[in-house]
Amino acid sequence: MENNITVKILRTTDEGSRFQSYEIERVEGMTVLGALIHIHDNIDETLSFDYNCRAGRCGTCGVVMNGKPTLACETQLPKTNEMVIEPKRSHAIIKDVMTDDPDIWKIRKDVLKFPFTPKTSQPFVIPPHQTERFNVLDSCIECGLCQSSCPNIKNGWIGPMHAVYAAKLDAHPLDTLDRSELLMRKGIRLCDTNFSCQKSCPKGITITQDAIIPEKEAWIDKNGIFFRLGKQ
Amino acid sequence: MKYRTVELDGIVIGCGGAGAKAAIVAHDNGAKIGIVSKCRMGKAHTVMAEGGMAAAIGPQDGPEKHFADTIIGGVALNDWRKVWKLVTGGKECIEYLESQGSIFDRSDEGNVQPRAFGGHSEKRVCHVSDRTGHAIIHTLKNDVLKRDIALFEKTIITSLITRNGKVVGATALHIPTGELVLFKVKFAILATGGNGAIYKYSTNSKDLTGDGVYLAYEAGAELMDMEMIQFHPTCMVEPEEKKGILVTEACRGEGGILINSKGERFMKTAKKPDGSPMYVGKLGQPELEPRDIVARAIEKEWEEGRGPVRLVVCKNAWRNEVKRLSIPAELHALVDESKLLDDDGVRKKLASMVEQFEKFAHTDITNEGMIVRPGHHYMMGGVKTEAETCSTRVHGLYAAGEVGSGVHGANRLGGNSLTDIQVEGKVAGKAAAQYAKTASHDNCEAEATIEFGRIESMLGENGIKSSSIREELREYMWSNVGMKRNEEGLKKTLEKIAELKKKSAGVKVSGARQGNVAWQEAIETVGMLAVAEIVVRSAIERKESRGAHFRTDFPKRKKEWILNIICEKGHGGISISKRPIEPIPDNLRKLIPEEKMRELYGE
Repeated sequence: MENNITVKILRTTDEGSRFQSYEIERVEGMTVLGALIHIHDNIDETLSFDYNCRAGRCGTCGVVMNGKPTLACETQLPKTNEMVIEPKRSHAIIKDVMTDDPDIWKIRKDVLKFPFTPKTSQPFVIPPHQTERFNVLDSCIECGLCQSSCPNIKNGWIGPMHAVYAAKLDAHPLDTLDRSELLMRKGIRLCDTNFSCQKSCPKGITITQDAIIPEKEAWIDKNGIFFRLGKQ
Repeated sequence: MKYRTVELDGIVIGCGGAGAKAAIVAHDNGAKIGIVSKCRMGKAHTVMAEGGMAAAIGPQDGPEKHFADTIIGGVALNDWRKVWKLVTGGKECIEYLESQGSIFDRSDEGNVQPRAFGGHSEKRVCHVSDRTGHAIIHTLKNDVLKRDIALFEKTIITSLITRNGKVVGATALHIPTGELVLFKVKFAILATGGNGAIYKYSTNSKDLTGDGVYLAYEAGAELMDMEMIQFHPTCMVEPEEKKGILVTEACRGEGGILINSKGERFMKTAKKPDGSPMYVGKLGQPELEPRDIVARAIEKEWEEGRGPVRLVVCKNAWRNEVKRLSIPAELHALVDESKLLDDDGVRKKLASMVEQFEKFAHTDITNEGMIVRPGHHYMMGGVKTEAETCSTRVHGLYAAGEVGSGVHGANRLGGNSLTDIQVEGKVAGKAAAQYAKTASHDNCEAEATIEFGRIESMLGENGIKSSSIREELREYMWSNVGMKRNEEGLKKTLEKIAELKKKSAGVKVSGARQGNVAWQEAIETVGMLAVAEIVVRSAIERKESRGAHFRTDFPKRKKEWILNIICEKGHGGISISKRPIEPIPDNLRKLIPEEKMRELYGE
């Protein structure tokens, strides 16, 4: 059929991972998630995947589509005849493209040891022009696509998503703490600012510019020297 | 039967705003607590709340005005005690969230600046752009993570176990591993949200399958006003896959207007038989009537062939619509262009809408109107609870947020639910922790074994697929139990539900235990059918039109129907009764303008 698209999905089987193909009809406005739901409801109910809000807000439905980390619910089907769906990288595979980030809260709890600590008492007076960077970082939906796209998540770098949260607290106009030291201990030096995270963010958050670089700068400002690789 | 046992003082079921708040407060009051949720923390439906959170913080505002607005909006079905708690709790909610590092949108002077919303007589909806729920859920989630609260994510509760009218346990399935879990507890707090999954077009996340209502019903609790389903006036229409996705009320709160295909601002031109304006709205904007009224007005335009209805928020978009629809000068005059946002304002204040329409509908909302139509949004009814404790009649069972009932009456005002989840979450968490101090654990292994047997029996080959049952149910509920209802359509739906219930006995789920989405869906479907039946039976029972419940065969509101409809599990099925509403005490009655009192109570 001319209007069909072949969806190749990396599936978990007893014999290991293998691709399975499904042919479905393209519908106007159909997203990658729409295709997965259609396959699950009508062709193969054993297909496992994650989603919830369907509107790009909860960040549950991340997959890798044609090699690119993608939020399935807000990505239209590609114009190609074939679409390849794989699980998010740097995540544990539960089954098929249903994944899990088992360390997410352990890492967050470490960051939360440096909670928002305001310099004034409430009610807070915060002129809106002071919150521009905070607002950018605050719109993170924690979908983990930046983690999935980061080539440097290894050897102890906690990854861009956690840096965004720490940098957001640092960007709060009334906050008194500095989390750059923490991020340095958590491997931010391994980030080679290749902009993969920023490019993959479905919410357009300028992660490298507004989280990673300011945190590195803050550390340098505080320590007065350029850091060397390998130095803790 | 192999299963894991977890012993705690209590569990919170659901990790949205109400659940997270309840867990925090229960923990801080000494309870050993866990959160059991179908999704991961921070992904619950609260994340989809957009426009804001009502708190009477303005210099001209106060809880008194907020109280009157909420009762008027709820068309007198509200539990006044809960409303008073809600309206006096808003300020504290803002302060708490800001103490955790949230920043609500500010005036140029740097103070929290609320926006206008339907049915609110003052600007009182505090917001973080148009992603307020997102900011709230992540703030609460992080506050949960600071504490020793056990998390059981991607886990569905399949039943509550009671002994002598007391909650003693809950059975669960952990979706990723397929492991069965028995929670031995002294209390359970339901915070499972609404029931959008039983309708074809809903703003709700897919997890909102009415689980809490079903669990409470089966455990012996009472349900109240389940016929009261809110249809949000503005949801996306195109493309089909995204039909029903929410278009925030903040669009109208920021001055947005509604026009039909002729370019008529129909909420301004509509007249009563005596020639006076049909819609007044609040703060001089007819589009800011309560949601039930705006939803019916929009649906009427579509039904009478004047669709598509467009929501225009931007000056530019209005100018373009004037050209495109060749809107005549006399209609042009109905719109005060200066009250619409400019491009920058739209991008800042309605950022999510800009993105949503660009990505899903390829529409630039700064250049054209958004096509909108009502869709299922919120469940005003739910588990019947006491205002002071959020407790049900089952000892140790509590409910907070949307799964509860009574706060919003027959129609919820926008912005009131983000306040409600936190106010009720706090009440429930505190009361449950208190209860746990004197309650004790009890055996529940025998009941658990039977329940796990039921869950296991769903696995197998060559059975009926639950997806087909869900689809039929949603179609019927949308067509017959939507914004307009009548006896014939409701009874037809009851027959369909009975047929689907029979069919559901033959559901089998194939595939592995691990990560089996269809297994979760099969479990949910049983509850969805029960919840749908309760909604339909309650809708048949209420033979009048009030708030969100509109009966074409009983189109008038009647004073004698100022009462709650209660459902409970009887011997032969659902047992329905009517219960009078406690009158509002005189000191609070005085807050409602006299002409409104006459309108509401026929006095």
